[in-house]
Amino acid sequence: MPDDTKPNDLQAAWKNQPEEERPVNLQPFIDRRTQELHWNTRWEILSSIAAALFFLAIAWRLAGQYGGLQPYAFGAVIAWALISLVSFRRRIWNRDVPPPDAVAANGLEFYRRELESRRDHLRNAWIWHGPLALACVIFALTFADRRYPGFDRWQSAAVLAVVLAIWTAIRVRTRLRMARRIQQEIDALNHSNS
Amino acid sequence: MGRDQRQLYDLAVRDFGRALDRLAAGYEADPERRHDLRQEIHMQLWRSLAAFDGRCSVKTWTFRVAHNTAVSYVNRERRNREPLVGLEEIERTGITADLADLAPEIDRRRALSRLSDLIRTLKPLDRQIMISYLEEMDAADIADITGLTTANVAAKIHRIKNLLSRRFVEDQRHAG
Repeated sequence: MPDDTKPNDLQAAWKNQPEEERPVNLQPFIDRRTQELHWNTRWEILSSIAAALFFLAIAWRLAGQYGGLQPYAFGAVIAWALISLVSFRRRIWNRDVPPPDAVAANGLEFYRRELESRRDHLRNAWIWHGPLALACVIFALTFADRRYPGFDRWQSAAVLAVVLAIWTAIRVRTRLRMARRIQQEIDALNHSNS
Repeated sequence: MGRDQRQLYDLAVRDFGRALDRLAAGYEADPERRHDLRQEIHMQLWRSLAAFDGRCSVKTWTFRVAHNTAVSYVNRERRNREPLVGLEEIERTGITADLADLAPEIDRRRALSRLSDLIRTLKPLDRQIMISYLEEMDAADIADITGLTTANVAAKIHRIKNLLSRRFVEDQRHAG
């Protein structure tokens, strides 16, 4: 067994490291955080309004021009986006105000919670990316329909649909693999302390 | 709750303020970002102490909050996505030997710099143990902070001692 004096030297070096030059001053930090929060909130509200207007305009144009599938499909996209947004918000609101002592949990418990939250986020990716993928499919079908009405539209949209399907599959696979790795880390954590 | 938030915070900063700065250095190398992290640690500490109920000592509470805040910060801000490693892996692969090759001369500043680099490659719980060990806490204190069993912490400390000793021996060999 190696002698212990050397680690003790390192302990001394660690404890005698130079002091930080700048003192901690919480007020400017809190002010900056508050300002960032205001900016983010304002940005989210504006972008939500812009997105709603954009989808409404498209739905209105499509309804007038095509009728049939597209307006309903876009309606589905909007509904999906809204439902996931509400669900997401509810999850955020529920977690948004954790008790002030949540951060005082022991390291194992806190880290496990962090990992679980990252894992859940990865597993639920389809909720956030789903509307975009569906919108892409409808967009492709719409333009294909304009050029090749009738059955041919499926053929003309096939290339984009295949590319989209491959891209989606790769993304889903990557995310699930990351989620699996995190799950392994959670299992290892549980196992290591049993 | 016995003492009020302000008193507890002042007490924690007076007794552990320097240790919290060192802890932040174990998580973030960049001075600007480290300053941000220190402020975040203090803010979380202040906020959490409103709910301090004596379930553990102020010391344990303070270090739990500091480590947990830093772990969240690292997860959020990590630019380098290289996977973090455990003490066991370092022991197995001999990463420290490579580090020793880089610096034949032994001086305290370089040793400290390499030690900090090493700490920042560790997985969160191993990092907490390493930093707490360097702060000369005993296994029971570290177990309170990390939530690991005392036996588990003792085994990890044994690994850390071996690791640091080996590294110094190799440094001295290179220096000689």
